[in-house]
Amino acid sequence: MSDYEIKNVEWNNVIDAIEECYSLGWTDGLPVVPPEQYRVQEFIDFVKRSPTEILGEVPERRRQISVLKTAANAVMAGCLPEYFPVVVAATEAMLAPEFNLIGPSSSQGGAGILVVVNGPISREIGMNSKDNLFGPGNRANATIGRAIRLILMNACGSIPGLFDRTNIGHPGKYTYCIAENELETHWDPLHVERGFKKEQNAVTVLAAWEPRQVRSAADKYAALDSLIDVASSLGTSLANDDSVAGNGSLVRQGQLLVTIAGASDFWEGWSKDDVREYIYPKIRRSVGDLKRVQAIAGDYQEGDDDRYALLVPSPEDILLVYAGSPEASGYRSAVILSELPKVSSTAVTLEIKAPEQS
Amino acid sequence: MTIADTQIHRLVDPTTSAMVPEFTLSNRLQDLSNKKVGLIDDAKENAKELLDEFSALLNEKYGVSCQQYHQKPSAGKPTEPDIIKKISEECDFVIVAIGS
Repeated sequence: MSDYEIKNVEWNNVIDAIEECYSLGWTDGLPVVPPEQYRVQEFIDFVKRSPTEILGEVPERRRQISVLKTAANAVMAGCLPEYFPVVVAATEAMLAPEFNLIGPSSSQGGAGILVVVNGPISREIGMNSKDNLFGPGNRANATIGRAIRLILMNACGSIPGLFDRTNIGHPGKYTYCIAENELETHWDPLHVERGFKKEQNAVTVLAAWEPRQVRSAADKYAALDSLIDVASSLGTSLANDDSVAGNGSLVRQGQLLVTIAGASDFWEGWSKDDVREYIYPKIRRSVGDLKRVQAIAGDYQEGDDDRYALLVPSPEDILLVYAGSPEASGYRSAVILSELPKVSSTAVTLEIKAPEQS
Repeated sequence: MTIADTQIHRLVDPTTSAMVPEFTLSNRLQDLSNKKVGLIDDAKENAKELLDEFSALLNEKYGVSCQQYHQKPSAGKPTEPDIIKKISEECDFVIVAIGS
C-alpha cells in the first residue's frame, strides 16, 4: 500500500479516535471504526485481491473505486473480514453500467441501495432473513449495508448536500441489507430466478425507496390485494410521468421488490411466478386519479377513471424475496419501489466470488 | 496531556479524488452566423419547449439551423457516446436543455 493513501492520525484514547474520524469528514453521522492500515490489510488478504484492482468507476465524477478504498470503508462500517466478499460484490454491482449509479446517488428522489444476499454465504456469516428484517440487531446486515453507504459517500463522492441532492430520503440510506430465507420455502431464491445456481452466492442491488410494511388478513388473496393497493399508491416514484420520454407508457414504470414472509405452507401450491402473474396487472392507477393530482399531464376526460397506467414494465420486473417473520400472521410483506424508472436504473445481480476464485 | 501520551495511527484514506484527464477545450466560435446547432433534450418537463423556442430565436437572429435533435430516454442516464460523437461531428455547437 503506497504511503500517499495513508493518513497519519494522532490519538491517545478510543474516544479521541472516534472524534478524529468525525473531524476528517469520513462518517455517515454515526461513529466509525478507524480504518487502521493493518485491519484494512486483513480484509484485502481475506479476498485475495490486489488493493489497486479497480472494482468499477463513476465516470461522471471521474472516480475509480479500488479494492483498497472499498476495504477501508468496510472496516469503518464495522464489518468483519468474512463479510468483505459480499461488500465487494455489492460494490461491483452498483457500479455496473445498467445500475447507472450516477442517477440514484445524486437524484432528489432519495434512493437507498437495497442489498439482498443469496446463497450459503448468507447463512455462513450469520445474516438475518427473518424477524426484524429491516430492523437493528444483526451485525452482518447492519454493517454490510452501512459499508455500501460509506463507499458511496467517501469513494463515489455522493456527499449529502453536494452531489447527493436527496430532498427527503429514508433511513435505508444508512443501511439497507437483508438475506433471503431460502431454507424455509419451496420457492426458488431470487438469485436462482435471475440465472444463478442455488449453491452459488450472489448479491442483488436495487436503488430503492423505503420498505412499506403491509398488514393483511391470513389469506393469500387478502395478502396480495393489500400489497397491490400499497404498490399502486399515488405520490410514489413511479406514479408520475416526470423525466422519461417515449417509453410507450403514461407513467415512469420501474421495478418493484416485495419481501414476503409467513409460514411456508401459506403459499402452498403457488410459485413466485404465480404471485407475479396475479399482482403484475393489478399494480396500476387510473388515468383519472393520476390527472387529478397532476401526476400526468392533461385535462380530465370522460372515461379516464376506467383507463389505467401500469406501474411496472413486465412481470419479471417484480423481484420477490422470501424474507420476514416465519410466524407472521398479519405483517407479511413489504413493498419496495425502485426510486427511478427502469430506463434509468435497473437491479443488478452478481456472483459473490469466494477468495479462492479471485 | 503530553505528546508522549499519544500514538500515531496509520489510517487508510477511505476517500477518492476526481481524476480529471488533461483535455483541450474545443475552439470557441467567433460568431453564430449560419452555424449548425445540435440539441439534446434531457426528457425533463419543458425541455423540448425550451429548446424549440431557443432554436427558433437563434435561427431568426443568426440563421442557425438545427442539425441534430436528440431526446434522451430518461433524465437519469447520460447521453450515449455514439450520439455524442455524431452530434460533435455534424454540428458546430450543442445546447443541452435542463427542463422543469
